[in-house]
Amino acid sequence: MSKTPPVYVLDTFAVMAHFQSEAGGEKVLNLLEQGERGEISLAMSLINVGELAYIVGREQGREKAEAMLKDLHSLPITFYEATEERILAAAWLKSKYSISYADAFAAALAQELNALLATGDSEFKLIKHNLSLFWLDR
Amino acid sequence: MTAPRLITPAGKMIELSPETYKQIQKVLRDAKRDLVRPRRASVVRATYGKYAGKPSLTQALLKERKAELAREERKLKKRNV
Repeated sequence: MSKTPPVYVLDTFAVMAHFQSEAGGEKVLNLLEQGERGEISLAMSLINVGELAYIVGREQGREKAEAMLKDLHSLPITFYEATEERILAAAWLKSKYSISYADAFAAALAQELNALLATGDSEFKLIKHNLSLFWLDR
Repeated sequence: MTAPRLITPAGKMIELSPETYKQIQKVLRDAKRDLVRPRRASVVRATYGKYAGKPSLTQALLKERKAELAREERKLKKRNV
């Protein structure tokens, strides 16, 4: 019987660290290469994609943001839409913990997929007993 | 039907048995598959650090999240006063 590969959810921080080869970026590169080889599965919420778009758009302009989004979609990541069920799962987390709205979606997706959440954002420490974290060094 | 033939770079023609021809086709198919894999992997590697430099996006993200939480805290405090 074939074993199901482990799943990792990438948050906005993880993807940014990869694109800018910042602290933790090498770990993300390693995950992406494992994903390419089919050894693990990678997932990301489209809400986090939106967060990436507006922050890059604001900091570096829309053209750069669109180029980054194109590159993001060439990576071996499955993107998950914000269905009502996912929005509510994120909302319940947000109502309980002092985390940002986009972070709540990443956390809820990790719970749904029984996945490890790859992040370098210390905000997730507040919720660590409810999540499996794959910590990216900073 | 004519037998399959292999033409060497020197222009020499070698007639192949059907079995040898099949084996050569298999080698070529496998080689093609091996070529595809590293090319895909390089997409991942090519995007690593592609947007490196200032400003730091992760720092902008953390700042944004901090500001979002501070805004919410302020709103909650106002409501509770």
